[in-house]
Amino acid sequence: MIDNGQIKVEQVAHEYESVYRENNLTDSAEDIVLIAEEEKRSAIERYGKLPGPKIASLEAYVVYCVRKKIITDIGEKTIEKVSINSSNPASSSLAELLQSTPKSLLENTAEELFVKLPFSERKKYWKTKEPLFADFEKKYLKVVDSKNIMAVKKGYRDYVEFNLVNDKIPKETFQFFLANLDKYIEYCNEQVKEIVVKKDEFFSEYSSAPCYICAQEFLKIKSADELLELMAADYPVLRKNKKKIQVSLGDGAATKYMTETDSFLVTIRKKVNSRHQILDLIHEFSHVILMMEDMSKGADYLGQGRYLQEKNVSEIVLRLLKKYSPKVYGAYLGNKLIDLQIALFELEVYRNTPKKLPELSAEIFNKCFLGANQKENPLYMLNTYLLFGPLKSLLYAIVDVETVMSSANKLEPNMKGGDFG
Amino acid sequence: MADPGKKQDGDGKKQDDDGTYYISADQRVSFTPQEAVEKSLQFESSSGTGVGCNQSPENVVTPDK
Repeated sequence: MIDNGQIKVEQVAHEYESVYRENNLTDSAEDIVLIAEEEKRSAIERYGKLPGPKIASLEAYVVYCVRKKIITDIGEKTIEKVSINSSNPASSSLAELLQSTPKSLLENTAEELFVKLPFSERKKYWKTKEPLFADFEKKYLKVVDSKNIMAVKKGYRDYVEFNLVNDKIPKETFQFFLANLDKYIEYCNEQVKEIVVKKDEFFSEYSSAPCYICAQEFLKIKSADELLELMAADYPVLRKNKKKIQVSLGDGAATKYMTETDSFLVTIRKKVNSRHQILDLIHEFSHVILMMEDMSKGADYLGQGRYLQEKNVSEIVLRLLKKYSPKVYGAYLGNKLIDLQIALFELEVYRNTPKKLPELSAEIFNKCFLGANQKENPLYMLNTYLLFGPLKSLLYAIVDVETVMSSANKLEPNMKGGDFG
Repeated sequence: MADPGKKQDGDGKKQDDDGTYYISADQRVSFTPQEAVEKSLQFESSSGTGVGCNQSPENVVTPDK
């Protein structure tokens, strides 16, 4: 990226040409390079005004800013309001679904069922609400079709492949994921066999999600600061730059590098108990560690792609949890089956869909949680991420299978290559 | 855990869900155009992909129980 002391951003700009083309944006390659060059000049000026000591090197900072500028430009030019009148089928089909089953209905029903009502009353309650969801499956499948059609128009096999390419997941890694599912499921189930739970309730479709983390003792960590200090024993860079990390509460967990201040904003979920907030923090602080280490050395962090970023984070999280508490490590792997279950459900829906979805949901749940015996699970509908973050779980499930199996030293000797699926 | 006195909703989401949504080129759905762009630039965790654990703090198993 540096040539004769000059930071080259042309190559970065060219990486986005295909995205502009896929989305029918009229910008030429020269236009994109122009955006990059202009942002490069601004970023160099901004960098000089940042207070020291700086986390990012000049090169890493400039390249990050250039990618951010281009991604923002694409976003601003392509984002559209979800509307039933839209000519974009992905937008109109989603609007149609949300008209009959609004997000508030999905969330309120889930809250009533899984938080407010005792387990014994949940089935009865669901039966009173079920008619409101009568059209969900048909309309959801229309949303799925529209995304697949959009992906095909852009040159991909389907929306699954679109995501795999977007997240920079290597083909052989996806093949490894598919080939090692059974071993992974067996291994994760093994880790939680000692955790005592009421299986009938735990594996019921009327339970929100089996949570092994809450079913046994947990790490004795009381605050974000305490956790940061603990992680800093292995990753001193965290303590060194402690003042550059802000922690806040939000709807989801995320980490963001703030180019304005050369600092990090870590967000953890406000609606979960402190154990899950701690796990959110371990994951997000791991992103911070990697970004601090990489960006101080001039690395192009955004350019790595989500797969590599999440894989590196997962390796840190697994290593630390194993060190802090083998029991919590086991429970964490048990909970990983929830991500896997959602990923496999969506994979099946986007690629096959021959079955009724409540049956499919139950079948995949039983495959993931050994000993479960669901017949049909219509409550899959209450997972708003099916609509708001489609296939988001797939990346994490792929990363989990690879890193957990590697950590458990149970790698298949031959990782096959080939096309996706 | 996180200091509740600090800025809330660090992901830029508007406070009221009025039924208006935005869809990005990669089909992710957001509450504001700004949030849709932000999502491309942040590193999320997998912990928000399911209905999730709803255990309240008093219901978790502790060593004292």
